[in-house]
Amino acid sequence: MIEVAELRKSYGDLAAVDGVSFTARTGEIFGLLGPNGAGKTTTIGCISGLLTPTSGHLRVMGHDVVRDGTAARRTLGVVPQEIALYDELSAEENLGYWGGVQGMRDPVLGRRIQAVLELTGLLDRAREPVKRFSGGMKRRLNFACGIVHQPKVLMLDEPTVGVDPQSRVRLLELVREQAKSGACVLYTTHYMEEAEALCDRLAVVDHGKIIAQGTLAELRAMLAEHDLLRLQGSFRPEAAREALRRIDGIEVLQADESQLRLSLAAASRRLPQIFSALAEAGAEVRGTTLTQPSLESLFIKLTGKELRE
Amino acid sequence: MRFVWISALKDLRRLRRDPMALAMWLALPVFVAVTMNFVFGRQAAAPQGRLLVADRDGSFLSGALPGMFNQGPLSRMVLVEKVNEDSGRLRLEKGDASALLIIPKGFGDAFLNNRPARLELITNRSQRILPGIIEEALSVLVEGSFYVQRLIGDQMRLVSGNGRPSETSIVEASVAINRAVRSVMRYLDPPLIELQTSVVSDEPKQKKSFGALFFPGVLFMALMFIAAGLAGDAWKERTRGTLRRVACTPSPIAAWTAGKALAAFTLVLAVAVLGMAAGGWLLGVSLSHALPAVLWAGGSGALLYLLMLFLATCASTERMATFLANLVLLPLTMIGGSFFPSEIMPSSFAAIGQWTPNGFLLGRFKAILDGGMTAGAIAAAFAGLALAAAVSFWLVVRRLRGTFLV
Ligand SMILES: Nc1ncnc2c1ncn2[C@@H]1O[C@H](COP(=O)(O)OP(=O)(O)O)[C@@H](O)[C@H]1O
Ligand SMILES: [Mg+2]
Repeated sequence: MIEVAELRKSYGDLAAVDGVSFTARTGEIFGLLGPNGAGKTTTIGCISGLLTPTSGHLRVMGHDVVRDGTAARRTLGVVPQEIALYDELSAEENLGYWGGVQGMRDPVLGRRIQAVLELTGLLDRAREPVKRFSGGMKRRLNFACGIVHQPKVLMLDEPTVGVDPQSRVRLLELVREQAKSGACVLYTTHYMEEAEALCDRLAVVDHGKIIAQGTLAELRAMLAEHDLLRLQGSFRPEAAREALRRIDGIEVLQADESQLRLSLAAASRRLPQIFSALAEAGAEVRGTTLTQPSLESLFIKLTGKELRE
Repeated sequence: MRFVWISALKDLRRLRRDPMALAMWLALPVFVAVTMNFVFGRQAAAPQGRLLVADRDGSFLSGALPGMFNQGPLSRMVLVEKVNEDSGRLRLEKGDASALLIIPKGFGDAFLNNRPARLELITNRSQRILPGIIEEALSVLVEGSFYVQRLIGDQMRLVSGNGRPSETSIVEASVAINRAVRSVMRYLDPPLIELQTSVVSDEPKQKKSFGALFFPGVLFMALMFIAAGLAGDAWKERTRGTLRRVACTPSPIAAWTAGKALAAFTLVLAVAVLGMAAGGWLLGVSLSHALPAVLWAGGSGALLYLLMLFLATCASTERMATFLANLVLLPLTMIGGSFFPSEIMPSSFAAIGQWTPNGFLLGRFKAILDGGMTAGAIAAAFAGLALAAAVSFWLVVRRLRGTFLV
């Protein structure tokens, strides 16, 4: 279990994490979804004891991270964003080292290394130096080194970045298995598909703040089954807003000279009405994109921008 | 403690997988050692010394003794000039020569009859190395002569004995002498040092070969390069993220650092043992105090490593760290007496050099190796070394836990 309450971490004037609170429970996958620079890595850094929080409370399996860091870290497995491996050493030796610094000893460690190698499909390359591995294999080993000691709490920081589709599918399966076998998993990503496919509950973060939190269903409900409509062309923002205000149930998320973003129910049936209202307001529409409700549209609804901008 | 061991093992394994790195750190010291050996073994550009010889004996043998400086490699290093004793002393005082050799009356006689003979060598204190060469060469000559005496004493007595020798006895003697000299010369020419340890002589002591003079400096040069190279690895671990990953485990950063220092110590110890063996075998380095000397070298390596590590962790970027390391590495190595032994440096430089960390450690190393330190002084030196290492360790860990980590 991870308990985060009012976590703040500032670098000078910049609040990298700005009052974040959530609880990730045993046996569930809790997601932190947000664009680059949202503060995901900083949050994980504070929980793992790497960074000292500016303020707030952090507990891992009941241990206070700041006051009793060693006890907290004993329960923790971290799969960092970067591939933190010794690439002169073999997969087996890396696992031996990372298991060793977690306090594991032979023969348990030896058996566990074999099991983890098998799990991540690296058994036949176990003795090769890691520098000869492909990106996907390194990612899998990076993951393996985080779970070799069977942590009660597992934190993964964008573990699928730069991974081939096959390895990604395998990695997501492995993460699910960890949660199923009773670990509390904290998973950060900027891929909303991953968050949707993997997480039991999640928090959407931006600029160090949580802008929405809940189960996938709860978050979808926040959109009230509204579609997201994006119109491109040339607009006079004020006139366009004025014209659309007269149509029922349309929310303007964003309006500028080249683009409008609207949130509305049953958008496809109401397109003609929208077009004629905009034409009256002197707008010229050249492109239309309609998006079904998703985390992406939620993110856009909440922040007025796309996740991957 | 287990974490320390695990970390050290990890680093030693990584080093073993990357022998090129080690080879690069050792390349320059080995190159310098080989060059020195080449230069002074065959002395293409060796310094020239002037040896003044005052011959009070005036015998056939006393005439021949300085003549031996005119043979082989020595002839290009040492100019011999016969002088009378008084003017010789005067010139030596004025610094006009490297040394004055006084051959006492009755030397030839004593030598022929296998009685102890004493040669007096007065060296010029202001010159550091040339008198050393002369002293060295002379001691080798004396040792050589000792064998010559053993081998052909009879014939020589015959030739220079009372009365005119017969022609046949001269021929016989010269054939025998010739053969003996040739067999002795096999040992004398070029590897002068071969004979160094073997002989009794009551000549001026402190017979250190040229190679042995350079050996400690070259060893410490290797130590400096290893220390700097290994210190750079902290940045590698930081950039890759393995350091941050360690910080997320229950294993303390201090254990990770201690593991690295232990790996450095082990590596330097291995290099020192091998270097010492090679030095003893090839350069005639005296090995009678090899054990404390090797341990001192290992400890010095660990301390220098921690100092270089501290420097590296003070840099704001990896590139800056490399730049800083290079900035201090060569000057320190040079002034600390690794390219040129402090014995041949201008004394002002030598004085500064002995207060550089590596120069200071090197000075103690030489003293230990030469047997010039009492057991108590050695113990005190080791205690000081341990204290310095502990302080540097504390500084490094403080940096690592602080801004260096993230
Ligand atoms: N050491 C640091 N010093 C200053 N700013 C930092 C530091 N680390 C992160 N930041 C800033 O904090 C914000 C959050 O970064 P990060 O947690 O890495 O985001 P994410 O992992 O979500 O991409 C970013 O604006 C980043 O530039
Ligand atoms: Mg990140």
